[in-house]
Amino acid sequence: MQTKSVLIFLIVLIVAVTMTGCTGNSPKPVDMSEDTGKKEVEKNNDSTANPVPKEGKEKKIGGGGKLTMFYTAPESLDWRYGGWAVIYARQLYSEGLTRLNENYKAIPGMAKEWSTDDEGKTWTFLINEDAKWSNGDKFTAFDIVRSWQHTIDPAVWSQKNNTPWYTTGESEIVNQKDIMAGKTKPTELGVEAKDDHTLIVHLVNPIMDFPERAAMNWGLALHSNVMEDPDHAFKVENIVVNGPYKPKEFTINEKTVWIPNEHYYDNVTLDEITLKMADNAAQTNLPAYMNNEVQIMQVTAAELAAIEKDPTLSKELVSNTSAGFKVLTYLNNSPNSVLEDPRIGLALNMAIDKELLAKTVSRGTVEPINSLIPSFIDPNWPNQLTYDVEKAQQLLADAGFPDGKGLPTIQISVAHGASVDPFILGVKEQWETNLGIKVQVDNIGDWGAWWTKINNPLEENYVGFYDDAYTPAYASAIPLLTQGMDYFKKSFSGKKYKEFVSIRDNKELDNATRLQRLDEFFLTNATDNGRKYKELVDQILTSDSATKQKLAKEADQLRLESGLYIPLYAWKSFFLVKSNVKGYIADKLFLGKPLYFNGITTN
Amino acid sequence: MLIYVAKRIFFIVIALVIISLLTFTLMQFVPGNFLELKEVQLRISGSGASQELNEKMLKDFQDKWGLNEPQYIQFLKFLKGAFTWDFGPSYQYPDKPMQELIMEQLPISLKLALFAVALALLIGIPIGILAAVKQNSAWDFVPMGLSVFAMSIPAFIVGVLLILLLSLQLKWLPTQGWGNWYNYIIPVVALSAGPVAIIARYIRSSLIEQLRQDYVTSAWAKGGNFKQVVFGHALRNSLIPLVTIMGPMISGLIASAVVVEVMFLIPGMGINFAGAAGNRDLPMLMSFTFVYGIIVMIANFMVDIAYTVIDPRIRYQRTKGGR
Repeated sequence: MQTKSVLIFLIVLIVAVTMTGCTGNSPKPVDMSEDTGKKEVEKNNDSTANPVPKEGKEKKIGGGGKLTMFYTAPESLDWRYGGWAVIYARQLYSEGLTRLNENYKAIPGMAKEWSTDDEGKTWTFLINEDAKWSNGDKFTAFDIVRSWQHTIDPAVWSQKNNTPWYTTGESEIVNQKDIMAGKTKPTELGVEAKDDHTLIVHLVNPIMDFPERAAMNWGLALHSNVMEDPDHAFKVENIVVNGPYKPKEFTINEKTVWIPNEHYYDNVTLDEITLKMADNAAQTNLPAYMNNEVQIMQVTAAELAAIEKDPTLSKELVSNTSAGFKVLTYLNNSPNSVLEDPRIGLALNMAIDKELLAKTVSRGTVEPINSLIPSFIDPNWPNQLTYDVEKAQQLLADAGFPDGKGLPTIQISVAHGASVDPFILGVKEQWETNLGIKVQVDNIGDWGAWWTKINNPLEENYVGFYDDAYTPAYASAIPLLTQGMDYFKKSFSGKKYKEFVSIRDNKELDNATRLQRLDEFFLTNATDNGRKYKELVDQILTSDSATKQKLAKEADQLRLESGLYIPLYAWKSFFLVKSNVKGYIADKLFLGKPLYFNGITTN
Repeated sequence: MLIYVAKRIFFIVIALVIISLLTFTLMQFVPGNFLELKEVQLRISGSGASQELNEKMLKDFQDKWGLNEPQYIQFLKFLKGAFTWDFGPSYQYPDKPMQELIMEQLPISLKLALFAVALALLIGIPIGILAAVKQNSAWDFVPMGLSVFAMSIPAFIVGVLLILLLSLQLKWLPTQGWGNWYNYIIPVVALSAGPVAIIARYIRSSLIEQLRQDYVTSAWAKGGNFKQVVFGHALRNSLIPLVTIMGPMISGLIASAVVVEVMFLIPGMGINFAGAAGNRDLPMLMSFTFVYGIIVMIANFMVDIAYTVIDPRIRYQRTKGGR
């Protein structure tokens, strides 16, 4: 074992690629069918994420052992800043009305039950009477009201380099938008506490999976001491939390140590959690795991091949397909409009054998996708474009470029540093082989230079796609239509790009005017299908759940057939988990990191 | 001497202003900014904010850090903050003034570098002396041969080899971390391996040269013993070239310490400094550059002062020349 360990370590050192990936467990589909009628009070007793103490039994605090794992270091414990602090908050020390189980369905959090009206626009949550803060204060519905009013306040979040209130995706809480724009006071937010235990939320548009959305970062609760003494409330010695763990130690760029919150209403499994800063550049993570200094670590692609060959480590390797995925997006900042013919984009899409590339050049570290909605959200999503070289060649010929003749060199603009994603290199090879076109992978090593390039007018002969990636914020297709990959705003001709930039970068216009002008620009210059897409998305916002799904599929089809987006693959995440670690549930929405720490044991 | 010190301090201040100006100017030309990076990260992590929010966030961000002001004003404000030890917060840690972060992390980085220097001197000087006095023997060939390897191998490779041996094979030490005495061993040894070799070679060649001087022959002729001749006469003079390289060596060690800190997850300044340019965190990059500049220049200044202690001729010339 020792010799093998040394060999593994040496191999890993030689390979300098640090890409995450993973294989594995087939993703469980999320049930997208939603009730449209009266939804009675739900009592969700799903206990997969955190075993609720049985009636009559005492809750159990600790006793599940200690866990040490590598994790990205937060900048502070103030999750109002967003970033990694908010991830720590959701997984460890703060809780909203609900939590999520491994199928991304809402389970009780601070609220024990919930119900909605006929339309899914008004939601009533009953707060758990046993819920308390870590200082023993009773947790009430007023805490949620206060927290949400605080975090939505522009005076708070704009000072934090952060926009925490990305909330519900296609809908908003009543007055949310106006409050964020500074037009209305935060106290006007459509959330009210009827009494200590009853919270009512008023939404602008219906969302039947609002309880699921309320489990996410924006819905977390803040203790009143944050409003009273914001400069000191997030210090380890002062912080008051309502989640299962509370911080014991926090050192920037080193570690955070967590211990159980004895006032948590539920069982708390682990006695102590140490999250050590993970830095792939360190290259000492795997030796630390092999030396039993940590029990869980994320594996890089460079480490994977060696681990798979090791009999001990390979047994401890777990993997998940993430909801995050990679897309090539059309560079509509090129004045050359040749790729505006959707047949070319479709031909390019269908000329990639993604299965082959995923297996070979990416060595199983990615999952090929043919749709812009990941299979994690809906494995039966209808809009798929599969590998078909003959059809691709025909489409290209129909567009006036038989055998690729006459088509300018297609650029794939990436910012991959020292090493280009092998999948992208495979795409280049397949386009050249299957379609007879010339392709160049333009690797602009520095992300800033790349970002500037893809957001400003390009030279005439530069046409192609840029490397892009998305992860849905919720286990739902809707945010991927309403927030990411907005075909409506992408469909205008590159010949108009300079005009677009002249509005976007006009410093003489105030913010509201600039946004209004941009909206006018998009409406005027979008293609017919782009405008149709917008109409469908607008309808989605106000529709009931069943209609939403139907419209979402229509909108997505328009987007996929535009040829402006080429789905490539979903990430896989790989973790090494020691055999004594039980109850680890990977969050597919978050690169396979733990959904929650509570529920894990190491005994 | 006082005038000399005052002049050096004056030039240090000028150099710090120039270094800061260069860093600030270069960063103005670097494409991309902190918020754009955050936007990319938000999208990838599934937290895409609407364009309207980003616009507002950008405006508030610019207001907060004074980025709408003319660049020369921004630079002058930085200088004022730097010389009054009030850098303000960085973009990455907006609730923590940079001086607080520096005071948490700088002692760790300094400890690492100074321990490495001390270890290098403690091991390098005796090896150099031994090789010089036992010239052309195994005591000379073996350490000098090994020193070629030690100088050629970067600190992080030495670190990896030490991890293989001390952590994975012998299970004596942890692979990374900070805070306990045993956490120092691998990083400090890794960092000092190169300097040990350099010091040993310098001392050897310098001491051999001194041992061949007439004054050493005279000392032997006068009946001086080994201790008196080698340590009392030759070694003191052979230290002068060593002192010459100590300045650049300390600067080099501080630079190497950044890599070693990242590698061993040591919470010094290195991890943040290494990431500041990539994150486009101008306040952090500027303040760290300023502090590193001070450290390097003070190290060089102290080396120059040490010169005057070791070599009276230098002290005399400076005094005589009125410098």
